[in-house]
Amino acid sequence: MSYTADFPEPYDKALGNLPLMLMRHDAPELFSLLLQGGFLMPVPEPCTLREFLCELVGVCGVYTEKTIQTIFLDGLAIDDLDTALIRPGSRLALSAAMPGLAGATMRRGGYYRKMREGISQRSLESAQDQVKDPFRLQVRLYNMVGRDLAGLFLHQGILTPSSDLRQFLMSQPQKFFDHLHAVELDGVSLPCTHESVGSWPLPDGDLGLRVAE
Amino acid sequence: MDKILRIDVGAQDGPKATVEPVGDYAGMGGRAMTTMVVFKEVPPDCHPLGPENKLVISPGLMSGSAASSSGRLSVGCKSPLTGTIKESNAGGTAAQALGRLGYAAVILEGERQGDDMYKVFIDDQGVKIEKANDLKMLPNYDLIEKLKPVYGEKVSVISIGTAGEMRFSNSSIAVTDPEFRPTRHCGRGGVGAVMGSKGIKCLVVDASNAKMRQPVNPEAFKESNRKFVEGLKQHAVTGQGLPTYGTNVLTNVLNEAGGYPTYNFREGRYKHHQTLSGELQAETMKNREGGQPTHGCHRGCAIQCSGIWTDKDGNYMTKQPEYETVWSHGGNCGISDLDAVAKLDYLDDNYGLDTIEMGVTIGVAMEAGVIEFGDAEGAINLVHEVGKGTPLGRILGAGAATTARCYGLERAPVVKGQAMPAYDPRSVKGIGVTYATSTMGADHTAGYAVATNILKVGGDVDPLKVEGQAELSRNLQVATAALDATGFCLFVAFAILDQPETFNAMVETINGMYGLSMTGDDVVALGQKILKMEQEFNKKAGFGPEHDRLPRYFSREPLTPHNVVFDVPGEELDKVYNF
Repeated sequence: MSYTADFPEPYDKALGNLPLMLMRHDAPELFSLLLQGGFLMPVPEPCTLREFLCELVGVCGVYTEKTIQTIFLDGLAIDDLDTALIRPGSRLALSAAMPGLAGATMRRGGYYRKMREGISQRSLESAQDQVKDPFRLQVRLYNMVGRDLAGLFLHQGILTPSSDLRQFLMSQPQKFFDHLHAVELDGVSLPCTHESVGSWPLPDGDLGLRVAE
Repeated sequence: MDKILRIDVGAQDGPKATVEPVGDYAGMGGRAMTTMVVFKEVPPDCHPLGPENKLVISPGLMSGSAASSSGRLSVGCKSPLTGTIKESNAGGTAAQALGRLGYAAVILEGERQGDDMYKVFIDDQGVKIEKANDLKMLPNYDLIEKLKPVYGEKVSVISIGTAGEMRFSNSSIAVTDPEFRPTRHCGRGGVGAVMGSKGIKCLVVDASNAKMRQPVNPEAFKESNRKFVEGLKQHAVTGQGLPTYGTNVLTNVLNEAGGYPTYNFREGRYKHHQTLSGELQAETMKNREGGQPTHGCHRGCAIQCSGIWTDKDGNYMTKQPEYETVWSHGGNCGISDLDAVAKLDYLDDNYGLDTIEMGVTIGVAMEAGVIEFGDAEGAINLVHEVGKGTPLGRILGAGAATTARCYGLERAPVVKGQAMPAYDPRSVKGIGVTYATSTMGADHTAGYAVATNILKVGGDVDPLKVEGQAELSRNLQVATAALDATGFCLFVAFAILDQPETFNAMVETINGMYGLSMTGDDVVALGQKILKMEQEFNKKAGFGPEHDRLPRYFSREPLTPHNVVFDVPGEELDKVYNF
C-alpha cells in the first residue's frame, strides 16, 4: 500500500541551520536511491520509534502496521515500536516485508523471529533515562518504503553530505530532471538541468534538503 | 502425467528410450518423484558418476496445467558434490512442456558406452535420440544458438554446458526461459556432472502440439486458481516487492541485519552494499534500453520476480541476477559493480555452473591469495578457467570445499561439501540449523516454505520457546519438501503464510486438478515421507548426525557487527529429524 495521508508541517524548519536546498520536484519517489544510501534527520530529544515516526515525521496508523514490516535499529531487528528507543548515535532502517525465510525471520513480531534471536532488540531502556538534548538520527529507507515515504521525509527535510547529493543527481537520467521544476540554495535560484549540476556552488559538508511539489 | 521415459544410455547401439506407465510412482511429482526414484533405484553407496547412479528429471505435480507459478522442474540423483541424495530445481519452460506431453519423469540410467554425446528430442510423436558430437563442449548459449535453426524457438531445452561435460562437482543443468535463453538452472549439487556422465548433452522438448493439462474438476480448479492468483497479486511480497525489485531486494536488509556474508564470511556487512542493491538494480534496468526489471521465468507466473539485464548500450547481458548470485559474486568477493556481477552470472549460465558454489569458490580462492578481494576482472578470468577446464579451473570447478583443501584453508563455508548461500548462520541462526541438517548440504531453500503455522506442521508450535529452533527448522523442511513436489514456486510461500485463504486456494487448486480432497495434513505427510526417504538414503551413503554440523569456525569466529557466533548445540541439531 502507498502512503496516502496529507503531509504535516515540517517539525524542524531550520534543519540544523545548515545551508538549505529547496527543490520543486513532482516525483519524489525518484529520490529513493539517495534515501537508501542513508541521511540524517534532526531529532529534538530521545524518543521511542513510534514517537519518531508518528509524532515527528507523520507516519502513523495503517501504513506503519501493514507496510513497514522490517525494521532495524542499530542493526537489531525490531518487533515493538513502543519500546525501541531512538537516541544519539542511532541508525534506523525501514523496509517492507521481505521474501524468503530470511525475510520471514526479520519481520516485526513474525512467527519465525526466534530464528534471529541473536540480532533482535534486547534492552528496553526508557526515553526518560536519556539526556534530553537534540541530536541527528541516521536513517535509511529501503525498497517500497523508500518509494512510498520519499515525499514525506523530503518534505520534512533531510541532512545529507553535499557530495552525496551531487553524486546522486549526476547519476540520474533525464527523466529525473523532467520532474524538477526549480532549485534554490539559501534563497538563490540555480539552473535545474542535468548539465548544470556539476557547477552548482554547493558548500562542503552537510546541507539541508527539502523537496516539495 | 501418466508415463515415465527411461533412457538407457548403456544400450548396445546407443541410448535407447522406453516409455512405461508411471506405476508405483503414481501421484509423485517434482522432488517427491526424484527422491522416490533415487531412494528405490540408486544404491546409496554408488559413485555419483558411476553407472549405478541415475538422473531423474521431473516436472511438479501441477506443471503443464493452468495453475499459476507452477513451472518448477526438479532434477534428482546422488550428488557428486555432497555424496548425499540431491534434488535441485529450476523455473523455465521445460516443466510445463514435459507435463503437457504427459511425462511424470525422464530417467537417464545405465553405463555410457564410448565418448559420444547425444541429444534427445521429445514431442507428442515420441522420442528420438541422435548422436550429437557437433554439440560437444559447447557452452549453453552457443548450444542454444546451434539448436535454434533446427528446432525453432518454441521448444524447451534442458542442457549442460562445458562444466557438466567435464563432470565437475559444480555443474548445473540449464533450462530455457520464454525468450529461449538458457538462464534458469538446477544449480546445486553438481547435477550437470551426472547428466554429463550419461553422455546426454541436451533434451529438446517440443510440446507445441500438446494441449495444456486438463483438470479433473475444471470449475473447482478455475475458481481456486483465480483466488490463488488474486492472493499472490495482493500480497506485498509477491505482488509488489518481488515484481518490482526481484529477490535482490534482500541485499540492503541482510546487510542492515549484519547477516550479509562479506569477504568469504569474514564480516557481516559490506560497505558498498548500495552499489549491489535490488533498488539500484531495478532502477538501472528501467533506465537502460532493453532492460526489464519485471519478467517471468515461465509463462503463467503471477509473481514475475525475474528481469532482463542489459549493458549501457542496451545489449543483452543476462537475466536479472538473483540475490544469491549478486551476493556470492558481489559482497562475498568484495566486488561492488553490478555489471561485473551480471557478466559473472552470464558466464556461470553459459558454462553451466551454480552461481552460489562458483561465487563462494572464488571467495575461497581470494582468501587463498589466488586473486585479491575486489578483483572483478580476476574473478571473470577464474570462471573462464573453469569453463575451459584448465588445471586451475578443474580445482575451482570441484567447488569451494575442494578448493579450500587444495590451498590448505580451514575457512571453507560449506556443509556436506556444498557452499553456504547468502545468509550468515551466525546472525540468522535458524537458517544455520537448516544449513547444518538439510539432507542436501547447505541449502537456504531446504527450509523455505514459511507457512508451517498454517499447515500446523508438528502441531501448534510455540516459536519462541528455547528449543524452538530445531522444531521450526524441521517443520520448514517438511513443508518445503512437500511444496517442492507440487511444481509451485517457493516464492508463493509468503502469500500463503499471511493469507490462509490463499493457502486454501493453492490446496484446492491441486484438488481440482486431480479430483482429490487433500488437506493440510496430507501435505505434511507427503513432506515427511520425502524427508524420511532422503535421510534414509543419506544414512546408507554414510552420513550420520556428525555430518549435520556447521564448520567449527562458525562457532569460534565472531561475526561483525554483532560479534555473534553460531552456538546452537549439536544435541539441538540432532533433534531436527525426530519425527
